[in-house]
Amino acid sequence: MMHQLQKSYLENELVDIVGKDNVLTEESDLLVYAVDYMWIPRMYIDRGRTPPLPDFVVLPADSDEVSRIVKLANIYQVPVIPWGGGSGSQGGAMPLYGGITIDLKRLDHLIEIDRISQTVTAEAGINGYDLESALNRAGFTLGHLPASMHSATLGGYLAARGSGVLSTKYGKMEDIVMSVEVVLPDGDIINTLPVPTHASGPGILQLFVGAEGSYGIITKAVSRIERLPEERRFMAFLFDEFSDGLEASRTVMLERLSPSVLRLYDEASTRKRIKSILGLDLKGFYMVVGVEGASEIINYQQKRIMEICKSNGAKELDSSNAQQWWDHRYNFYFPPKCLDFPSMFGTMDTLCTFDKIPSLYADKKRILEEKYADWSLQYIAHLSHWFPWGAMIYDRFIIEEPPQDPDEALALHNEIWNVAVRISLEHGAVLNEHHGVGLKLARHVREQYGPAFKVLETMKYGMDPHCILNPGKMGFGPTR
Amino acid sequence: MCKPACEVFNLTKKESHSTKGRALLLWRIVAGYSTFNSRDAEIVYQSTLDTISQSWCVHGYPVGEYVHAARCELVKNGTPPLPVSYVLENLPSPTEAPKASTVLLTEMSVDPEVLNILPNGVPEVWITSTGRIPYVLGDIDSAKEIADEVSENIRKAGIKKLVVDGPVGMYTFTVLYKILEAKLPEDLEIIPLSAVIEEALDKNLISPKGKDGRNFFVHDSRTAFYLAEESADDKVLQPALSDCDEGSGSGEIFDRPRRIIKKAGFSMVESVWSRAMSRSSGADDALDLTYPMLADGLARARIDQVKALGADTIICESYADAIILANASKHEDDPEVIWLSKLFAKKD
Repeated sequence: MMHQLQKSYLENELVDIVGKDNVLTEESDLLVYAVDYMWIPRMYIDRGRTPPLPDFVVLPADSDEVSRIVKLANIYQVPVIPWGGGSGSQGGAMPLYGGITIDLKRLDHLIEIDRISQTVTAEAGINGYDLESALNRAGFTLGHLPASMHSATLGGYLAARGSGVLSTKYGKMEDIVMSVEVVLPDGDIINTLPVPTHASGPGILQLFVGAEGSYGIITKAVSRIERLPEERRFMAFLFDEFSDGLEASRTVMLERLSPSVLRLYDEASTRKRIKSILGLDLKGFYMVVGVEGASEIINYQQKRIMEICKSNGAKELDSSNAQQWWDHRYNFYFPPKCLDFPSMFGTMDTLCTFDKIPSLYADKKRILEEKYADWSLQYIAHLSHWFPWGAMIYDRFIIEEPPQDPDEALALHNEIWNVAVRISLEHGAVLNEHHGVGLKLARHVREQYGPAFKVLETMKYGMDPHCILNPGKMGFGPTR
Repeated sequence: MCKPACEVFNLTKKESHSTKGRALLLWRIVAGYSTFNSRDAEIVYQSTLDTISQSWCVHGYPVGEYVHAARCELVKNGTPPLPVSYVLENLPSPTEAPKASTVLLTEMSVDPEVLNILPNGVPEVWITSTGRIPYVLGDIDSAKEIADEVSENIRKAGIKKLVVDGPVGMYTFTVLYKILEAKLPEDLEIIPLSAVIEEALDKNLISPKGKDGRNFFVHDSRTAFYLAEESADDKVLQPALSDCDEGSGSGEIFDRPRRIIKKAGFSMVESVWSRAMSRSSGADDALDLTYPMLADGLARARIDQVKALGADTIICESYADAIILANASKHEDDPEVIWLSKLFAKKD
């Protein structure tokens, strides 16, 4: 804990770096930086508790100022937590041990669109919607359209290895990024190699991507971009059995038909979410498929996908339903349609190879619904991000009437997560597909990696011996 | 989710200025966990009423109403921030209305030259406070007192037709006065100055001034949001789609100035940030009176946004918008800002 006198000297030095107007110290300004989209800090606010607050929030203008702040933090040995849009669901930007939250949103410049190489260079604090709008106007797309786009930043996309709704075609952020500028834990500014694929030694790009600010603060990135598609088409299907939808989707992926969207909703999701948002009253497993690109290419893709789905028992629905899904896909995330208080909920997304999906889905649903029947836990899922070898299960638990007492709620929440995560790991899946680890899953990282965790640990403490950057996350301890 | 829309937040980048930031503070107060402190109070007023976030919200969450309710609470408790208290303590009283059947009412003095374009003679000009300023700042009692006095002045003066200077005046007399239950004469006709201008243009009594070939951008007042027939739809969430180019939200309040520009033979550029999704000029909801630096920042941001669209002239139906944007238009290559009424001259 910093003494008030020490805090005031630190404040003095921060003001020197970023200016008085860009150093926030009042609780009314700090509070919102303690709350991302993770259920726990929001529950604290809901129940009248204050989550851990930073001591300061600073808004630097460029990477030099970020560097100077980190160097200062090393001198004072205070934590530094990078903050983008604050839209993460894992508590990754929560200032568990206080310290300095660096809000990167003033680093919001789009520096260059390179039309020859089809890349974009932008600062990490640029808002996702603003970046995509600028690219669209130039005839391009990032190809990364997450639900959080309106709030998230480019740096946040990279920090959590995000997936967007078109990731099945264009890849996740770790596939899209080419190089990054990073402020290291000692304050030095480095750049990774200019291209992501090479044979020039171990790649360090992917050390920082997905590290959620624990190895370095991403301040700028070069990403590949795509031309806006000539055409974008959608299809919608209804399957009677989950296994039929899964098999159809697997076949589509194995034939490398490159759908842009492939989204298979389980029965509960179809009944609950599709009805609520799109007004479609369907019984079964709803699936949306999208293809995009040159008309001649997607003609074939669409025809073949239709054949595969129908041969697996799909009933073709009016494609206007699928278009409606696309046109209103963000509506799922706005109140009051999004999952919200007073319910307790969590997105337990995980990723595994095709062979493991049926048992993972069935076991997780059965175990969670049985074990928490007293709480009337509901399990809903869809499969939405597909890979040549597997798929992500985007599954959620919902408890409509959780405990009111914050400590009881916290205990139940964490217990459910322990059970869910362990089922995933036991089935050969991973902790998470695109939301990251944050605080929520930090305690499971060691378990997931087993002996390999020492690789992460050695690199972390080699680069950040005092654990300045985002302590308490990723399985690492506090600032020391 | 409404961060792309949230205006002061996009200027300062401080999360406390976002809708989420205000929501967290207000929730603690509404739930009884906390009371307003001085910084909370500042945050509530370092903003417009944020109706743009309300327009943006897919399901129409009444963001503006929540901000307004918080302001009313602060005024009721006697704890608004100092700049707001100053404005509320120095509200001008309503003036007496001129005795005429047709009167042009404005809250600020206008260039008398523009009145020469009006076809049926120059109406009497009545400069008076209306109660709108205290209302948006949360002082309902003062707003009602002023509204009642203005209504009585209209009645005493025998005014039959009230010409108001733009969307702000239309909002005040057709929406706000109903909320305040101010008793306007039942036979009082209220029309915007733009309707008078359009009539004069249709009758070929006026013609546009200035050089030809200009590319116009119509800046819609945020207050026009309250007069829209249909609010923005969720297409605006899609980044830069071409069918959003005209902005979202429908109604005569948006259509009329555009019609006038077209009839005058000018070309226009549009933006997704127009109509019900128009960004504030800084003159909205008394921000220019309470936190003028933030208001100037919004004005400058709007100039930059319109400049990037390639427009060389910004047209404002609202006089207050025209003043603040013109003041912000400082650089040689900035668009010129013109109040709609000053675009025309009477034909000889």
